[in-house]
Amino acid sequence: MLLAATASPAALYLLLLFVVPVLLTTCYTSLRDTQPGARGPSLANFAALLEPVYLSVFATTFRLALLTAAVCLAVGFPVALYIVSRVKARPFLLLLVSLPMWTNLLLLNYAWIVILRREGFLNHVLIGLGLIGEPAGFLFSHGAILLGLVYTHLPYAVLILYATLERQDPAQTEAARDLGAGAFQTLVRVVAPQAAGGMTVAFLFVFALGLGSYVTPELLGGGKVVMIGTLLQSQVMEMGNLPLAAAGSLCVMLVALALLAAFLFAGRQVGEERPR
Amino acid sequence: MNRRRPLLAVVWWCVLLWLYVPLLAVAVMSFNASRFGVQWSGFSLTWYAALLSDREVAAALVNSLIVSGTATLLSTLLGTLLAVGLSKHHFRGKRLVEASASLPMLTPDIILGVSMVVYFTMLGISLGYGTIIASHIAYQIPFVAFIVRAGLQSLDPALEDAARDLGAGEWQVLTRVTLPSARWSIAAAAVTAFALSFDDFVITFFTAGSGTGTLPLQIYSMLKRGVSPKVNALFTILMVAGVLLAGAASLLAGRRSADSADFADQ
Repeated sequence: MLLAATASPAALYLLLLFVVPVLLTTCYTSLRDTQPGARGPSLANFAALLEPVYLSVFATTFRLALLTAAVCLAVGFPVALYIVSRVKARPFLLLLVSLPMWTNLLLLNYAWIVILRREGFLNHVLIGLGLIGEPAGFLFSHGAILLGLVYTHLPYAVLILYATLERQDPAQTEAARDLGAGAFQTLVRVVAPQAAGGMTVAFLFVFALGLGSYVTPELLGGGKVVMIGTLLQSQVMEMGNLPLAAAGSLCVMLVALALLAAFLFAGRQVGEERPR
Repeated sequence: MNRRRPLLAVVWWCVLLWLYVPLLAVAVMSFNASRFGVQWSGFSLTWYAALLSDREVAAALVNSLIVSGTATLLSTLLGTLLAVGLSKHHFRGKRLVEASASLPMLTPDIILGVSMVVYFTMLGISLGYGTIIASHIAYQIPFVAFIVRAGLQSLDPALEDAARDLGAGEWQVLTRVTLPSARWSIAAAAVTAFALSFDDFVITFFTAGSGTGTLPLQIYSMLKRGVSPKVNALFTILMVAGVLLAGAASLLAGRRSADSADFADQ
């Protein structure tokens, strides 16, 4: 039974350098009162987060993360369907979609700066076509952030959706078509209901990642649109207010944990979708 | 599902175009002789030459290779052992270990970054390369364990049973049968772990402190200074490196399935 212990070094490592730091930050530091002379735990940091400035940051973050998840689902679903339909080319097409994940996140966002900036490609093309007279400012807007977030998260959504769709029995769609269902009807009544679990997982996964995004709002929002990530970073590095950052982290973490629970539940549903 | 679906094909090509046009734009611009704007003024390798003679970038690259190399070595070792322990043995608290081993994958990296800073500050550990490496290892272990476990699951348990029947002890079974037959998965896991660490910006940014410079940190400070042709060249090189790493990981994962097929044949 010597080998039962093989898991312990990594388990110990994760305990000391993941579980403890996250728990300490979210459950202890967040309760620390930064007021001079204050003693004992307090909810002051959470109260501070309820100030309108921060509430609007939370609202912006949730809205953008929700939109990102929705767009990734809407675009990712047909893409995953297409990959599944090309049986022989599947591995290659999957690699094509997932290649951007192997690229530096800074680069993926920078590429859009090159396209969207005032002297960028988009303005160049639009002016060339005579559609606009003056260069337009596409960067540093909600739209630019949404574009960047969808761009960086779409591969994850496609991979998750592909995993669900691939397990469906093609005989069922064939049967539906043979029975006279149109392509759209087959999609809505046969394919989509069976993929509901995978669609939920893809949506939640992208949403959770979107909540914690920092690089995209920073580079494509240029400080004009503030998301939670930027708030946490400035509290840690500029304000030195670790307790407030910890309280903000707890809020994000709680949402992520709630999503994890939903995730496991939806995952069980995905497991049940195997063709019988 | 082999019916023709023209609408899906149109969506697919549009998405593919949308995914790759921005990256290709950066690559094309890196060979543009012009410093400003998007006007093409001739092919040039000027920016690559400028990049190669940039000492800051070179130093940052070396730092990144050391940080990611060390972190990858340790996380591959720990993650592989974790995968073996989780897939071959049943013990009390296994579910708990499994859950905490998959949580870092679902935790937004910024939360990991903030938590690490708070923790290290509390312990009085000064931020630097050590804290970056320690944080990267925690970030990488779950991915390594996940990939290696998938490899171990496709291994025929009869092989290990046979080794045991032939008198091999637990340790011998592990080192002579289990680990060698999972070698390609372990290699794929190591490549993935390296890419995760090498490309990571957020966790590094938080745990770096001052006076440290890895490549992503260097890139970030270059980006804050604005678009420059040198950045285009650097990114083109990193893109090619990313493609090579992705290709290596998928080839290794492919060998894994080929390996298990071999075993099944024997």
